[in-house]
Amino acid sequence: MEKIIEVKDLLFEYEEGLKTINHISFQIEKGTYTTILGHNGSGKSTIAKLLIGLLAKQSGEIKVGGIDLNEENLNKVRSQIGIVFQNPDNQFIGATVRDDIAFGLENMCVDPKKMDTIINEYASKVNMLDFLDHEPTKLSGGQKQRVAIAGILAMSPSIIILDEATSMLDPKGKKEINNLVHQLNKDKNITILSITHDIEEAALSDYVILLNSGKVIDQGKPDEVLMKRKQLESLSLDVPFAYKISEGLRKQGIQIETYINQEKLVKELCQLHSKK
Amino acid sequence: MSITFKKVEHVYSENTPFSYHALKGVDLNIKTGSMTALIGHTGSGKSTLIQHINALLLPTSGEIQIEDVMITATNKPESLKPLRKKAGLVFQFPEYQLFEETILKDIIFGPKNFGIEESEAEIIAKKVLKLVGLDESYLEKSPFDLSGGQKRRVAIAGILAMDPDILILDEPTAGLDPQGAKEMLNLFKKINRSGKTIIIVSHDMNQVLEYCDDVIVMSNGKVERHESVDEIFKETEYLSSLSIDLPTITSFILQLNKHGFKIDSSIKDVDQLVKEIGGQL
Repeated sequence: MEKIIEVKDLLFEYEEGLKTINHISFQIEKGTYTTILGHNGSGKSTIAKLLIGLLAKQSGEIKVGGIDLNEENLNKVRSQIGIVFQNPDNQFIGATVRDDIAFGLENMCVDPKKMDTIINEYASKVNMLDFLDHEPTKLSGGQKQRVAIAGILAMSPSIIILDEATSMLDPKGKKEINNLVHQLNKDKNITILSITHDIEEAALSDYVILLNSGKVIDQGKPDEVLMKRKQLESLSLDVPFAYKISEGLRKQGIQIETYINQEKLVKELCQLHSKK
Repeated sequence: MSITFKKVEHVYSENTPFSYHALKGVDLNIKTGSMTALIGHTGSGKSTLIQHINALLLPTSGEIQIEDVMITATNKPESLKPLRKKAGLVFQFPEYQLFEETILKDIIFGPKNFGIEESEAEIIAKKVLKLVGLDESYLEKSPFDLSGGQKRRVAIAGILAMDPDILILDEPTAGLDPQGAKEMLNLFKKINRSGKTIIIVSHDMNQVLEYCDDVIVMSNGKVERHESVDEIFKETEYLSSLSIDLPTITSFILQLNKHGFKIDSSIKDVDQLVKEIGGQL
C-alpha cells in the first residue's frame, strides 16, 4: 500500500523543554480513514497544524505524498491537504457561501469563467447548492462545516484533515458531516485523517492512532486498539458501548465475541435469542 | 425556588423587516431543586428561553416569575439586580467570557459587583476553584494560558462565586473530552444535590438520561413537552420527528426488543442491561 503521510521522529515544543509532540512516528495509507484519538491536551491538534505547516517542527521528518515538508516545499504539501477546523465560525472569509468557496480558487488563479461551474459542482456535492447566496454566519453549524468542506474540495486535495470538526455541532450536524466524509472517502478515495475524542467515530474508521502526552501509545485497526479497555480508560477516553455490553455478557458466561460495532452485536444477540 | 412562565412571547427586532418570533406562548413551571434538560433543534428557541430566566431578555408580552421577582415587558433592568444574583447563566463556550489578568481577579469580579468585600470574595474564589477541580496554584495564573477545558472550569467558577440558586448552563460540555464532560456533569449534579435548581441545554441525550430529572422539549419557539426523563424517551416517534436521537442505551434496547427481546426501555445502567440481556438468552 502507498503511504500518503509519513511522520518520523517528530518533535515539537511550544515552550522549550515542554515536548507537546514527543518524538512520534506514524504512517497513513492512501485512501484510508484514520482517526487520531486522544483527550483534550494530548497534542492531537498540534499534529494537524504540523502536517500542514502552520507550525514548524523542531526536528523529525514529515512527508506528504512523498514530498518532504520544508519551507521550500510548503506549497506543494499544502496543495494536497485540506483542513476543517473545530469552530465553524472561525473559518469564513467570504460574505456569501459562493464567495467563500471562490476564495481558494482565486488564490490558485483559476480562470474566473470556470469558477462558477466548479463552485456549483462542489456546493452540490455537499448539498449546499441552494445556499450559494446566503451569508455564512446565518447557517447552522453543520451547514457551515459543509461549506468549509466544499471550499476544500474545490481545491481537489488528496487528504482531508478534520480537527474535531464535529465536536461543536448538534447531533444532526454531526451526522451530516460524518456521512459526507465517509462518502468522500469511499467514492473519491480521499484520505481522511480525523482528529477526535469520539470513540464511536473511531470505531467506524480503518485505522486508529492513540495519542497521549504527545506520544503514540498504540495504533492499529479499531478492533485491536479499541478493545483495550484499561488503556482507553487510563487515557480518559470512553470505551465503545458495544464493547461494554459484550464484555459484560462474557463475564456472565455467555459465549459471545467482543464487539466494538453495535450493529454486529445486535445481530449476534438476536441470533442467540432466536436459537434459545 | 420555582420558575414560572406565563404566556411568554418574545419577538426579536419587533416592527422591523428583521422581526423574528422566537418564543410563542410559553407556559412553564420548573420545580425548585430539579435538574432539567432543555432540548430541541438549533434555532428552536432554547437560548432565547434561558436568557429570560435572568432577564437578559425581557418578554415581548407575558410574565415570568422567579420566586418573588416578576419579569414583564416593562420591568426595568435596575430592579432586576437581585434576580441576576439568584440566577447565574453560563453561556455556551464560557471560556470566551474570561477577561481578567489573573484567574483570581476573574472569579471575584462577579461577587465584588454584588457588593461583597474583596477579602471575602477571595475566600469564595478559593472555594469555587476547588469545586471545579482546580487547586489554589491557579489563582495567580492568567486564564488565557489554560487549556480549553480548564478555561471553561474557571468561567463556571466565576458564576458559582455569585452563589446563584438557579444555575443555567448552555451546552456546558460541548467540545470537552468524555472524561472532562463527566467531571463537569458530576459537578453540576453535586451542586444540584445541595439544593440548587439546574437547567442545562444539551444535545447529548446520553447525558440527559444519566443526569437529569426532567426534560423540556422546544420546537419552533414553543415548549412542546415537559416531562420526566423516563417519560420523554418513551416517545420515540415524536423525538424522531424532531430528529432528536435516543440515548445510545435506549435505542439499543429498542433494537433488541424488535427482535424478540423483552427489555424495559427505561433501563439507564449498562450493568443492569447486561443482566437483563443475559437473563433472556
